[in-house]
Amino acid sequence: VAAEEPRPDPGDIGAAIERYRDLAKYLITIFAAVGALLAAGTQLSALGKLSSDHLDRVAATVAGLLLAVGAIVAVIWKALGILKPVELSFDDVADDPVLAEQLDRRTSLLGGAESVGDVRLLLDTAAISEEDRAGWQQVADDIVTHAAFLRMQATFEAAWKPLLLAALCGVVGICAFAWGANPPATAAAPAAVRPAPVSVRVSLTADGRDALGDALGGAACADGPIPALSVGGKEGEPRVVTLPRPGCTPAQFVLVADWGAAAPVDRAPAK
Amino acid sequence: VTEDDRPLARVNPDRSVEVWIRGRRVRFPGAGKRPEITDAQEPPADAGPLPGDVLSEVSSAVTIISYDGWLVRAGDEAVQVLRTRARRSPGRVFSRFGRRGG
Repeated sequence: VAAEEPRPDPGDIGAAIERYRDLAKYLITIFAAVGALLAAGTQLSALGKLSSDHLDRVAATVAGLLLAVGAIVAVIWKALGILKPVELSFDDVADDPVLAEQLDRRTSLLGGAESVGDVRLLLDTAAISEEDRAGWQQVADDIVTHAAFLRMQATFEAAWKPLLLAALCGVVGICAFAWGANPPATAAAPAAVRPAPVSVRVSLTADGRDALGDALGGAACADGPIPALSVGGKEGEPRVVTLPRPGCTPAQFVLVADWGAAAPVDRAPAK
Repeated sequence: VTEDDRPLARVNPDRSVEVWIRGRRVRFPGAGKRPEITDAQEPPADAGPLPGDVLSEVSSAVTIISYDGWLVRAGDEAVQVLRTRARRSPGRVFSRFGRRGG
């Protein structure tokens, strides 16, 4: 056995191929667990809260979903390439220059021949006995079995990096989806609170008395401090409601500065 | 395949066998020893048909004969010599995993 050749193993090649497949299954299981963990933390119900106000999050949600689904498809595609059965015939091996060259280097596999091509010649020729041909047939079986292992090895070597990349893309996609699908709660509008009435006394100017005298029930009702309640309006222009007084009419008006001023009193007047 | 392509042979008193194929003389010394190949344009007059234990396959491109555990494949350009019996050694199974030391 040449020094560069792998040493014999107590297992068989079928077991070695299965190990590659198991490795692929472990990888997929790990990816699936990570994906499930990430997906479990995603509040899908928050999708309904997305609106045109969150275009960046809508875009992230769609892109993340596409990326995650694409990554899942890619992982499954690559995994199936490893898990599917290897179909090889001796002619397939002999006709594949790369595979044949690899096997030619493993001289202990060749039964004394120098190449896979020589083995094919010995199998095909009518110039050897059936007993000798049976011996070469066993050599060919060993070659095909080992070729299946080499092909599985090559398939796995070509698949694990794309598998890892697809898994990373899946994680990025799920994260983007989670970010996009969960917009922050908008600050709630402050509840409308009606201003509490404030007891005031209104002193009218001459213009105020002229303007409001009739509404208040006469000139007498417009003189002096008028008990009232400030119920809103703006600073400097309160909306006031005069309190009922004998002979006067309650009225509501906005007290502009030209008409007078409203001064708060400590407590509401007694009824 | 013409008559000229058909191999002719001679069995010598020392039990060696000589076969003429495609302008070459192939001598099987016997006792499982590797055959010797030399150029020879014409077979000798006493050469005749192949003995029954010399197997052959003749086509327009190549002639293959085997005898005494050896196979000779002669084309117009190259000659190849191979053993007819496969040697199978134990432990031709390989694995990247679980390899035992020692």
